[in-house]
Amino acid sequence: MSSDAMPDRSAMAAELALGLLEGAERAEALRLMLADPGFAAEVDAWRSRIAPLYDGFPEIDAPAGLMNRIEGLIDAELAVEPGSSVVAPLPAKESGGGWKMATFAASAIAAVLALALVWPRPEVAPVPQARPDMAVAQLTGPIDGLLLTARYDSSTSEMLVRVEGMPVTDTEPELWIVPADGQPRRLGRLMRGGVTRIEIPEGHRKFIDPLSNLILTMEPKVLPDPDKPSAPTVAQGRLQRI
Amino acid sequence: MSNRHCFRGRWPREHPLTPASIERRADLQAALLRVAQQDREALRTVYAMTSAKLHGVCLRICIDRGAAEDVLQNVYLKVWQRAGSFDPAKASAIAWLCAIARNAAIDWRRSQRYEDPLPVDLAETLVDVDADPSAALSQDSERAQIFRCLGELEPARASAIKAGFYQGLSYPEIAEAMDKPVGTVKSWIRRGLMQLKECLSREQ
Repeated sequence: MSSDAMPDRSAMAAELALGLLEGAERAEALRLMLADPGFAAEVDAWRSRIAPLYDGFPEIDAPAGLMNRIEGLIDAELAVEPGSSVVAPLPAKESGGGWKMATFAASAIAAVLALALVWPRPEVAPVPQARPDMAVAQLTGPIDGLLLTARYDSSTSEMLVRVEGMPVTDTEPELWIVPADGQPRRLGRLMRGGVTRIEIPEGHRKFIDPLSNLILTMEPKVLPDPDKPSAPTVAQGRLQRI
Repeated sequence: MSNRHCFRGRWPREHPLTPASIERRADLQAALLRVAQQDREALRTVYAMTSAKLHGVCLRICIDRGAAEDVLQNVYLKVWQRAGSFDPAKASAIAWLCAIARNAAIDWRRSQRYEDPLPVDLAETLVDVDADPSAALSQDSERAQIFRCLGELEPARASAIKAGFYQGLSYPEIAEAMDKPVGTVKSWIRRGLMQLKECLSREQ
């Protein structure tokens, strides 16, 4: 048929949604997700389109006891440090399918899978002390591998935000808090990797509660309007008080 | 594995949404929203409702049982950590969960660099298109549509798309499995996807 040639960008959106892309092509597609809302919408449309195909996977009972292991890992995570997040290490298998994480170090997804957030640990106190009020959030979105973790400490009014897996773009990551009224308030610009420290303005501290979401948008270098995002949300997460 | 159905050459009959399946989907969505509030009981509910499906996704792509188990465990940890980003307006709960499982399994698969991909035929034998949606949290009549549209494609195009989706194969891996040049497979898939898009929009 004559109409079946697909424009490259549309094809790339479909291929990203299907998981066909690797390496540089995948990186380019992820960069476009952040830079081009039209492309991001096209990827989302493809994800919706192919979602019914999940019905084609068979149901196979999960191994007995797995839920207990998962809960044990969650308990261990909470015991290690409130607010930190630890994804279980993936043990090496003796069978032919052993983990070879090193061969995949470049993958942003692998980075998330192996993610173990190591926040600066508080000084170990010899006696239990009243913990300052803390809130945490994890921000994710349609871009595989992009993960933000935020931790707010009321005793310092500071939010530490760790950014992982941010593709290269011409735009800048900007963090906003969206309280129950739905109006975004700007918290500040983030570094593209590592941990950014943001002092929360006094007027915004009252919004740090479990009804608020943190959202990330990718903004032009000069923010068109500091009072509202000019670009679509690319990652979001709800605040949890701990 | 009593509910695994082999499938060759037939497209699924339509399954209307039943009140029971609608209720089940609503229950799953509500539980997932509660997981976002760090409700451990809700996580157990989500696990009970979906672990067989997500295990099926992981095992289908990883093939290795031990690896599928490890990936599945990490999938539920991710669900626990990321449920706050689930948006019911953008995806059904089961689609959101399956996407996490499929991405994690593909990630594992790519880290392995399988040297000997399975024959593409196998993708068809394990596709469970006859599963009963009323029991399996399915996605209503859209499901029948996309399978019907896949059925309209040339067999090679449909096989290549299904190998990518159900086995998590990349272009070079599909090309190797089908014994064709990468460019040919890429062209099949792109044309197939374009036809699929047209067919789905026509049926809406």
